[in-house]
Amino acid sequence: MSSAPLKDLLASTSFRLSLVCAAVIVLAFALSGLGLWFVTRSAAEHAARERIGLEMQVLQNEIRDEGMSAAIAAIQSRQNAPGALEYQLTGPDGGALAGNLELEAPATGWSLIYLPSAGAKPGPDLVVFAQPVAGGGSLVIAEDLERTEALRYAILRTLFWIAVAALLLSVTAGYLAARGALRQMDGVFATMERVGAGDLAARAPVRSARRKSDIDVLGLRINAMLARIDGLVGNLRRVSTGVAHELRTPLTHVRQQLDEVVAANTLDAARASARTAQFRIDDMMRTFAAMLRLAEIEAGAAQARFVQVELGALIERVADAYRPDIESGGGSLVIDAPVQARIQGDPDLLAQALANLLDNAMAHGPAAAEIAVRLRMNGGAIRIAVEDRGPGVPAAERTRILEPFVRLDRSRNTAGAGLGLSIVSAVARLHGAQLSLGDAQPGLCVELAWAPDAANPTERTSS
Amino acid sequence: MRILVIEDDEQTARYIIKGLRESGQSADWARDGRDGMFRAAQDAYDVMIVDRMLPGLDGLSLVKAARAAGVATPVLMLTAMGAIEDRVAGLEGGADDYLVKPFSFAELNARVNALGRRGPLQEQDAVLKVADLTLDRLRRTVKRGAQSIDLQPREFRLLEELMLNADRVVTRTMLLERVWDFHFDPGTNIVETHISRIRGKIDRGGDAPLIHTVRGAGYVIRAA
Repeated sequence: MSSAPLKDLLASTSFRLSLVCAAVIVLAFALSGLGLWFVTRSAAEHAARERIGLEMQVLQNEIRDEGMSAAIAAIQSRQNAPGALEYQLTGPDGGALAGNLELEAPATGWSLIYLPSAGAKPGPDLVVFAQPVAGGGSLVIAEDLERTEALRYAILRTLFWIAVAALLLSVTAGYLAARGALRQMDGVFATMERVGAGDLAARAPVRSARRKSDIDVLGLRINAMLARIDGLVGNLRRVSTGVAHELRTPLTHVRQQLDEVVAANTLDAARASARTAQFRIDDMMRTFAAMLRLAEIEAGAAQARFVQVELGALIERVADAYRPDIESGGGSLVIDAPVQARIQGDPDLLAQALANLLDNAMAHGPAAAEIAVRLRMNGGAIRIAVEDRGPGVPAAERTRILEPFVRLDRSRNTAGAGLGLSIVSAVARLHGAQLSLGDAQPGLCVELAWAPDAANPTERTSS
Repeated sequence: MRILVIEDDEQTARYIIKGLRESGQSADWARDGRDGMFRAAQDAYDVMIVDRMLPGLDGLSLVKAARAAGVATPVLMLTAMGAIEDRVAGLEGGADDYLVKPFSFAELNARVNALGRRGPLQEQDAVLKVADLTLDRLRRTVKRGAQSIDLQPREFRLLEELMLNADRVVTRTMLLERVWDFHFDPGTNIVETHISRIRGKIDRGGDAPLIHTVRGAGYVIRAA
């Protein structure tokens, strides 16, 4: 498996998805950063105003109740504590009495002061509150917002780095996911190329994981399709080879008969040879007809005209056709159909399947033996069995014998093209029945079985 | 009889027409569906032989159109081998009989004769008679002269089919279809076996045989 070129990787669906994810992450972080920026700013300012207001009230009370010197002492003791507010207490003459602030005549009330020194910091540096005090002078209390400012920057910086990390992570994850998906897709593509080049045995790689990815599912579907195509093509190959083999001998014979016609001395001799050639051609036509029949059954179109078929009556009708032949050979035909079983099906095709089975039973069993056709119903399950007293079919050959043109060596010299059981098998498939070959001890038992819940919508009644 | 052959394949058409003329029929040829439809509507034919696959207007549509136009001429439809669906569709579309290609001329001729002289009278006759053999379709009894003959149901159906077509050849395939409802060749001697049984039952005691084998074609029941 070749590793995917970067170009393909960047163009892949999974990588594009991860890029979109990354963009969304960055956007989310930017928005939350912006939100935090404004929220923290107004929150810090608000908190400062509250603290300052409270402090102002406390100090004003102190000045009013205990005099200016007590207030001076209080300010001096407070201003050096960590995190303290900043103070500026001036006397009636404008001289500084206490505090570490040095503002030039601040306006009474609230004001925000921007210090020019600190560069391009957004937002105010100082929140200032100035009020006149009892006995003249003024008290100014301010809070430096630099501390909260630092906090805000720290939060923003953190956000930024988290965003960068998230971005990197999602791009990396996207890259890895894309590479994994591309590798899997490469496997599928390679399979398709091999199939295109004629290797129908190629299969797409599917991971054995319990939870299948969509690409695994795609691979499974493709594999199922390939298996079906492979089967059909294999069938076709076997059939066409079979046809060629099957027709070679009779064609040679026809050719010989025609040579004899041409070389014949008398009209009667020519006629006789021509007639033999005709019989040969009729045989070939029968083979063709059987093959076309098989193809037609396998196409499945007959399902459209399924009707209700009573199997007992069908067996009776077909058996009736064979009984004279069987009995004239000294054998007997036993019909053992004590039940009424109805299925949805094509009576012509079912009759043909049964006829082929009886034909086989006659061809392969001893002439003076019994052939039995049994119909059984158990619950909703239906079973038709045709038994002969012939040599049977070895267990190892029982699947192969269902394929077109396959004949056991010992029946090479009997009539037929080896299509009879293939037709039965195709009819069984069309009707949702299971065809199986078994041992009738002695002899062959061919069984057509419908499960109670067979794929066909069947209605069964018991008599 | 006047017979219209609607068939695009020249070789097949020649084969059919030559055979029909040699057996004393008059046969016309239309080589496509449109021409065939035109002739079928213009002239009074006794039988039409219509190929299922035709250029211009396919056989099935032709038969439907002809029936819709009130042409009641019996139709024998020719279908390709392996196209069982065509048989059902053809019969539903108004054809009276069908024949799968390739066919022997004897088979075609027997079916054309059966269609051409298919009279409404005989189909509805309750009692069929050939020489001194009578078959009562209602009572389901058979007599040779005054002698009652006991037949199996299938044997009765076979004799009935022969007698409905008295003096005309009935082929093995026709019997398989009509008596056994087999639209395939079961490859057995059922027809032969049944015929020989019926012969054994109706030709007893040195009577003149009634059922004759026509070599290469089929069977015919006739007085002499």
